[in-house]
Amino acid sequence: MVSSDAEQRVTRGRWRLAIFVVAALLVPAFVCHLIPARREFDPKPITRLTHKQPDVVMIGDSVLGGAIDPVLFARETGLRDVELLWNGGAASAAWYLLLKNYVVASGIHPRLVCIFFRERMLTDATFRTTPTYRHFLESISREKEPVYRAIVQGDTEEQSVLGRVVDWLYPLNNRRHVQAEKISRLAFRVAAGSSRIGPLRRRVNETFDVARLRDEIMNESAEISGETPEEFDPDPKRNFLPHIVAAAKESGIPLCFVREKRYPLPDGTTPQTEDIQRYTADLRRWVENQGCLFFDLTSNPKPDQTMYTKPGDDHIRKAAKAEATKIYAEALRPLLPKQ
Amino acid sequence: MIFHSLSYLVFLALVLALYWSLPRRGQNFLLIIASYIFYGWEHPWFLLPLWASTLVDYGCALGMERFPRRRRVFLVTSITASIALLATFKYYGFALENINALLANFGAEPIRNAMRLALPAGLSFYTFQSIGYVVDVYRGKVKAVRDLPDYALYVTFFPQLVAGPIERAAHMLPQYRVPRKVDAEIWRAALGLMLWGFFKKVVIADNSAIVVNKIFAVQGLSFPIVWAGVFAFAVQIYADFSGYTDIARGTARLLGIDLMVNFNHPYLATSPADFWRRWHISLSTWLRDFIYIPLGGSRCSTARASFNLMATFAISGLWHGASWNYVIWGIYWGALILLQRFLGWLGLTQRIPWSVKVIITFGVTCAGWLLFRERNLGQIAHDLAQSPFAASADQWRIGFYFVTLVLIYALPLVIHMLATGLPRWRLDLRLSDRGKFVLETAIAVVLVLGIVTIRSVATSDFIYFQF
Repeated sequence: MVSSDAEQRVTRGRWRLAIFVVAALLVPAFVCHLIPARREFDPKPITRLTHKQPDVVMIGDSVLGGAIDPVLFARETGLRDVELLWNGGAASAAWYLLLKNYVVASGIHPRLVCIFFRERMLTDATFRTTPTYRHFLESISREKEPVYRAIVQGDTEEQSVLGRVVDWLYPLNNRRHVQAEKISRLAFRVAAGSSRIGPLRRRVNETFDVARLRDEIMNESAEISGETPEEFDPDPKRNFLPHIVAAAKESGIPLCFVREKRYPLPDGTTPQTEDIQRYTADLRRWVENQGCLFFDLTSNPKPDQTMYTKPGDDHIRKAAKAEATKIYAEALRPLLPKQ
Repeated sequence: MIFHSLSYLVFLALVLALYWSLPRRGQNFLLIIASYIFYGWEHPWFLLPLWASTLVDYGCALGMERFPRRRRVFLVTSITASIALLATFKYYGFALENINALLANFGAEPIRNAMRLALPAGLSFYTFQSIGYVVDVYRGKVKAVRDLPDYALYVTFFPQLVAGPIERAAHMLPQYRVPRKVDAEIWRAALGLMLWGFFKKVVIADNSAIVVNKIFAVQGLSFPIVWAGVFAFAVQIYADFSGYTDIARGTARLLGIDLMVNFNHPYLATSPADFWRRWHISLSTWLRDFIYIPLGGSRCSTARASFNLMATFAISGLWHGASWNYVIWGIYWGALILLQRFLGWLGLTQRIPWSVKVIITFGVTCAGWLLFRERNLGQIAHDLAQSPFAASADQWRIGFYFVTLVLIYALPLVIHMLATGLPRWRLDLRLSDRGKFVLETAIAVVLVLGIVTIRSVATSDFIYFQF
C-alpha cells in the first residue's frame, strides 16, 4: 500500500513536471502567435501618389517637413503638384524603403525625386534603425526586404538553428522593440501627467544629446571603434545609397540629393571641417557619376540664424517655413528637368 | 559562457542528459569537464590561473595534514599564492596607476605597464572560496580533501564558479561524496527558480541597465535625474546579481546539489547591518569569518572593534574592484554601521517605525550605489553637490519618467518582495498541493511570456562577472 502511494506520488510529480514545462513553453508561444508579428505595411501613400501624380517627390526627415511647404513650393516653381514623404527620425534606411515601396511601387514618373540629407546620413546605414525607429520602418517595409535585412539586420542572418526555432515559436521575440516603445510611452504618460508627452520626450532627447556625453565615454567609444573621421564609402553591403540610386535608375526616375544647411554662424555661414568637406566632395563626385543630381544649400547665406528654431538646431521655425520654401524653390528650379 | 544565452541552455541540456546516466564518480568527472568548458568557452587561458589556484591550495591543505608542525607555513603559502593571483590580474594596474600618480608629483618618469592582463571572470570568487577552504582545514573545521577531482569540483562547479555564491567546504564537499537524488518536484522548483532568475536578469536588470547607462554617460545632470539613475542602478544590480544566483541555484538543484541562499530581500533591510545580513550573504559571512573575527571582531575595545569593522569593509570594497570608489564605498558602509551602533547605544533607533527604517536604509543604500557606480571621484562630488531645489520642473519630470520606466519593469520584483519578504504581512495563500502547482505553472507561463516579449533589446554581462 505504502509503495503504491509512493509510486502514485512519483507518477503525479512527473506528470506535473511535464505539464509545467509544456505549459511554460507552449502557452506563451500560442499567445505570441495571436498577436501580429509585425506592423502592417501602410499602402495609403501609394494610393495618394497614384492619384496625385506629383511632378516632384521630396523624401527626408523632420528637417525637410519643417522647411518646405509643398503647395508653396509648387507655386514658386510652376509645378502642378509636389509630394513630401518625410518622417521625424527617418534616415537612409527609411528613405530607401520610401523610394522603393512607394515612389517606384506606385508606378508614377515624377520629373524629379529629391532626397534631403545632412552630413553623413546617406552612408550611415544603421543611423535611426534602433528599436525606437523600427515601428515606422516596419510600416514602410514589405514582407521581405532582403537589402534592408542584409545591411541592418546582418546579425540575424547568422543566427543559429536554435535561435531561428525560438523566433519561429515566439514571433514577438523579434518585436520586443514595440513593447519597449509602448512601455516607454506609458512611463512618459505617467510622468507628463495631464500635459502632452511630446515636449517631455523632446526634453529627454535634448538632455541626453550626444554633445553632452562625458569625455571618458566619448574617448572610450572612439577607442573601441578605432574611430577616424569616416570617409565616403559607397559599399552596397554597408549602406543604402547605392540601392537608392539603383532603385531609381531601374524605374527611370531622376534623382537629386539635396544637402540641407545646418544651423549657421551669425554671418550665415556653416562651419565645415576638412573631413566633412572631403566627404561631401567624394559623395558629390560619386552621385554625379551615377547620373544623379547633387545640390548643396550649405554655401547659400540666405537661411540665417533667425530662421532656425533655436541655437544648434537644424529645424526651421514655423514662421520661417515660407521663406525657407522660397529659398529651396529658387535654388532647385534650375535643376528641374523640362517635361 | 553566459547563463542568459541559448548556448548555455544547449550546454545544460547535454550535461543533464549525460549526468543522470552516470554513476556518482562519473558525475563528478563530468561536472569538472563541463565546468572547464563553461569557464574556458570564450577565453581558454582563464583556465590557467584557475588550475594554478586549484593545485596550490589542494597541495597546501594536504601539506597541513601531513606536516602538522608546518601548518602555518602551508597556510601562508596558500594565502600568498591566492593574493598573488589577485594582485597580478586585478590590482597590478590599479597599484601602478597610483604609484605613477605619486611619481608624477615628484616629476619622475612613470613606470610603464608591461602586463596588460585581462581580469579572468570570477577570479575574486574562486580565490576567496579557496582561501576559505584552506583556512577551514587549518582551523580543523574540515579535513583536507585527498581526492583531487573532488577538490577541483569544489573550486570549479560551473553554476557558482563565476559569481558565487562563495561556498564553504563543509557545505559542498559532503554533497560531492554521496549519490545525488532528485525528483520531479525538485526539478519543477529548480526550473521555476531558473526562470525567475532569467526574468530578473534579462527583463528587469537589462532594461534598467539601459536607463543607468544613459544617465551615467552624460555630464552636468541635475539632482532628480542623477538620483533616478541611482535608483535604476539599485534595481539593476539587485535583479542582476540575485538573478544570477537564482539561475545558479536552480542549475545546481537540477544536478542534485544545493547552493546556499545569497539574498534575502535586501531592500527590506531595517538598518545597514541588516542590509549586509541580506545582501550577498555568502561574501558578508565570509568576510565576517575570515577577516572580521580573526582581526578581533567586536570582543575588544570600542576603538579596536571600530577599526576591525572599517578594515573589513574597506577590504570588501577593494574585493569588488580595483578602484578608489569601491574602497570609499566599503568605508562608507563601515561608517554607516558604526553610526548605527552609536545611535543604538544612545537608544535612538528603537522608536523609529519599521517602514521608516526600511525607507532610510534603502536611501542610504542608494547613496552607496552612487559611490559604487561612479568610477570618477570628481563626478561623484558633482553628483552629490546637486541640490534638489535647483532643479526645474522639467528635470523633475524627466527623473520621474526614468523612475516610472524602471518601476514598470521591476513590478514583478516589487510584488515578489511584498508577497514574500514582509515580516508581518507575508502572503499566506494556504493553497492545496494542486492549487500550488497551478499557481506555479501560471507564474512560469507569465515569466516566459515576459522573457520573450519584453526582454531588453540590449543585453549585457552580469555585473558581478567583473569582480
